[in-house]
Amino acid sequence: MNSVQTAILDANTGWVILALFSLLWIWLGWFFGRKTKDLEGYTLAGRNVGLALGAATAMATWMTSNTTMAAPQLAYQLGIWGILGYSLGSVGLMLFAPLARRIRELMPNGFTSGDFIRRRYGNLTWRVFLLISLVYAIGWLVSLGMAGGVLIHALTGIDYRIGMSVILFICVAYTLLGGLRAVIGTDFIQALLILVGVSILAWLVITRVGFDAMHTTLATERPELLNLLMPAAIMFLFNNLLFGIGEIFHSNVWWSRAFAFRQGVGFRAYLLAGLLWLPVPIVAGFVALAAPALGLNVPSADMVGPMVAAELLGMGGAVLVFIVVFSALASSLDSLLAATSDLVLRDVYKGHLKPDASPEHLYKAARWVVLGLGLFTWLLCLPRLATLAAVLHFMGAFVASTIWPIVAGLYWKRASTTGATLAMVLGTAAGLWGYFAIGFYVAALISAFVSMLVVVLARRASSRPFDWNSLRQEVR
Amino acid sequence: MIAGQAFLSLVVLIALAVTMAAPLILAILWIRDWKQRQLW
Repeated sequence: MNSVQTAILDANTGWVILALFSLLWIWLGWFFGRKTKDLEGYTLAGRNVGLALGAATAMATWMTSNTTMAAPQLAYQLGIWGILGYSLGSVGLMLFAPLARRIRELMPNGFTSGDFIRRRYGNLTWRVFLLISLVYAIGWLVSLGMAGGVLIHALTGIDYRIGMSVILFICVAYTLLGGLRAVIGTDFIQALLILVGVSILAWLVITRVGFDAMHTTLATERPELLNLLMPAAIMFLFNNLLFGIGEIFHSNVWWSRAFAFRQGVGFRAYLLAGLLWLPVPIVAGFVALAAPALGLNVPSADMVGPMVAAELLGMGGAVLVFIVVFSALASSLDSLLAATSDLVLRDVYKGHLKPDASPEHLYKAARWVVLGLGLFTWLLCLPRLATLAAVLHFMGAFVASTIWPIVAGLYWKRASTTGATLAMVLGTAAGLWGYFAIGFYVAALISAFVSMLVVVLARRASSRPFDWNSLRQEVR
Repeated sequence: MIAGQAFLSLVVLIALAVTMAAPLILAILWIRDWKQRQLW
C-alpha cells in the first residue's frame, strides 16, 4: 500500500508544523542549557531535578510514537485487552520507583547503569550488560528514527528519508545544545501537548459518536474486539508487562534520571509518572474503536487513530494528531540520545578507551558523542532495515534477561557475579530460542524465567557478601 | 465473554478523567517547585 494515499495532511502544512516545532525545540534546548558549565550539569542536569519535571520527563519518555499510534492499532486488532495490556507498560515505571530511590541512596555520585554493574559485579558482567544495553539502545533509537520517517510520510506524504532526517536533526540539535536539561525541559512541554491532544480526541469520539453507537456497531461487526477472553490478547498482556519491566530496569534512560533527580524525588516521580501514564494508551486506543461506527475503511491498522481524528475534526484533527505524534517521538528520541550518549561516554570511551580522561575533557567529548550517535542512527535509519515491531520484539529476549541481575544486585548482598553474567547470557539465548521456535510473544517471558532461575540458584552457591559502602564512593 | 457497554464506558471515562487531570497535576507541581526554587 502506498501510504501517501492515507496522508491526512498536505505536505505544505506538514512542513509548516515541522518548521515551527524545530525552531521552538531548538531554541528551548539552548535556553534550558545556557547556564550549564560542567559535565554533571550537561549529562545529569546538576542532579537536582524536582518532582514536576521529574514525573513529566519519565512519563513523556515512556509515551513513544507506539503509545499514540500502536495503542489504537492494538485496539483495532486485539480489542479491549489490547489497550489494557498496553497500559500495563506503566507497571514498569511504578516498579522502578523503589529502585530509583535505592539507586540514589547506594550511588549518590553514580553516572550510568553501567557504573553500577561494573562496581557491583565486576568487568565481565559489565561488558555483557553493556553489549545488551547498547544493542537495545541502538535498536530503540533506530526504531524511533524509522518511526519518525514512516509516520511523517504516512501523515503528510513527506518522503521517508526527509522526514526521518528532520526529526533526528531536531532532537540531536537541542540535546547537543542543552544536554539533559534541554531533554527534561522539552519533555515537560511535550507531555502536556500529548495529554491535551489525546484527551481532546477521546472527548470528541464520546460526544460525536457515543458509547451506544460504538458498542452496538462493535458487537455486530467486530465482536471479537469486545471479547474479554481473547487468547492472543491475554498472551500479549503478560509479554508486554515483562518486556516493559526489562526495558525500564536495565536502560540508562531511567537510571540517568534516577541519578539526576534531587534526593527524595525519584520514588515519587516514577510512581506518579506510572499512575499518570497508565490511562493514556486506553484513551488513545479507545479512539480506534470508533472506526466501525464511523464506517471507516481502514487500509492499514496503524493508521486507524489518525483516520478517526481526521474524520471527526477534519484538518484540525489531522494537525492535532501530527503534533501529538511529533511530540511523542521527540520526547523519547531526545531522552534516548542523551542517555545512550552518557553510556557511550562513561562506559565505552572513559571505561575502555581513555580511563584517565578528566571531567573537563569528558564535558567536551559529551557533545561529540551526541553528534556521533545521531549521525550513526541516521545512517542506520536510511535503508529502512526492518519494521518497527520486529526490531522491538527482538529486543524482548535481551532486556528481560537483565531484570533479575539488576534487582538482585540492588537488594541482595550475596547476589553472585558469575550468576549475573550467566543469567544474562543464558536468559538472552533462551529468549531468542523462544522467539524463533515459538513466537515473539514468549521471548521476554522465557528470557526472564531462565534469568531468574540462574540468579536464584547462583545465590545459594555464593559465599562472599557485598559491601554496599563500596558503591557510595566517588566514581573514578 | 463480551464486554458490556457499561464496562467499556466506565473504563474509558475513568481513563479519560485521569488523562485530563494529568496536565493540571503537572502544572500545579511545576508552580509549587518553581515557587520553592526546586525546578532543577
